[in-house]
Amino acid sequence: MSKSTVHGRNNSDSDRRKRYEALVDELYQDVFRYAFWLTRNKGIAEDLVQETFLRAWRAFDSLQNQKAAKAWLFTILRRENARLYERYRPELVDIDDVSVAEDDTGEPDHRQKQVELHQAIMRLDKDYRDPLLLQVIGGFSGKEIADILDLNNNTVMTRLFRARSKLKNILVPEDDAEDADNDLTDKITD
Amino acid sequence: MDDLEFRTRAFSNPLDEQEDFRAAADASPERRQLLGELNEFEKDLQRTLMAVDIPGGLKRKLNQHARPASPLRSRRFLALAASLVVATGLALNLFLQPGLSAQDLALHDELVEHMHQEAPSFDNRMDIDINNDSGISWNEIETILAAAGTSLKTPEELAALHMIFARLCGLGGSRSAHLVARGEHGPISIIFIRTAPVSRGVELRDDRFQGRIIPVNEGNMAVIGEKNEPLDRYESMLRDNIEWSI
Repeated sequence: MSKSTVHGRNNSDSDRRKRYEALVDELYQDVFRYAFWLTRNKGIAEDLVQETFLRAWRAFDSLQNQKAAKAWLFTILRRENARLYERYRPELVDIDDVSVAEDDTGEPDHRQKQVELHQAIMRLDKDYRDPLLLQVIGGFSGKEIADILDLNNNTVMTRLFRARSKLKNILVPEDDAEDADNDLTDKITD
Repeated sequence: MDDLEFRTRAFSNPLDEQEDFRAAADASPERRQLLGELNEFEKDLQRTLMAVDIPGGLKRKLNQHARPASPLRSRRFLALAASLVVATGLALNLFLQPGLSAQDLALHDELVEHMHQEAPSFDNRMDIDINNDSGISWNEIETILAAAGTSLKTPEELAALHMIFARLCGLGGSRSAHLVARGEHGPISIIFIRTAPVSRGVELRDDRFQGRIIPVNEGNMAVIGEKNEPLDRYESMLRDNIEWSI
């Protein structure tokens, strides 16, 4: 092997590593947040993120479009969760364990609202929670969420509608919106 | 756009910037009010979903996946070093622990290396004041055990321990459960490894840790702690309780 070939390969390896590290830098926090809310378990979320990025590194050359990196990572994470954890895990989540980072407002009312919302999200059925996480944490459009979840776009929009309706109803049970929302969702087909 | 469609789209995506939706929102005060409420709710939702503590050191661990092997870690050197370690280990351990197979000793060496790799993670937890550390929940322990193909018949005894670490680890080529409890003199690791049982109990040889790998039914269990930690009671508590579920 010629010296220039070795040198070229080193450059290529170095470039690949730099692009991977840039990807980690940009996305690892959102990937961890998604893993946490998906599994509702910090330890498993960390393991899952490590497994996700390990697989991403091994298959890094298959990532042709950097703009698609986030959807690619989230898809790997979902697949690994299904493969490694989901089938072993009944619903063993302590929804009252609100050990999330405090926001920077520090106001008691705000904190209390955040705790209630945290618990409400924890209680949300996975079918509704999942597209909501992809929309809010992932920043994905309805079409992108549909692709990731292998659903049609209407189903995704219906589930997003129901997710927010249910959260609002959990938080404000006296809200008479519940009946109205139920009426509305009956008219929307999956 | 009628009210039903507007409401559906507003709940599906309150931040929708499409022109038809924005125009529909401006069509009535009621719609503007609804959208205003949903936008406020969206801020709370975003704040809550983003408020997750990111584990310290996670970024460094992820970057390590791409870390190039140093010359001493290259395959050839690693193979040579491994064969020397195994040969030395075999000679030393066979002398001290006759009757062990090469597989037993390979698992021993892998376990010792694993303990040193993971130690910084659970050592950190030992530094936290016990009064401020709620520990790992039993739900999480059960989840990890189940994912490693194990469970405990009478979990109450183990539940009394203050667990500070629970993780799935790759040991012996299989997923293993690594739990760590607070002991009297430091962290106590309890590890369930679903591999062919070792020929007999393997004593750990290490500068820091003491403990044993014990064959239990269809797999192995290891209880490992600091040199001065009494481990017998943990072994007896666990060995009759473990069930391999897969």
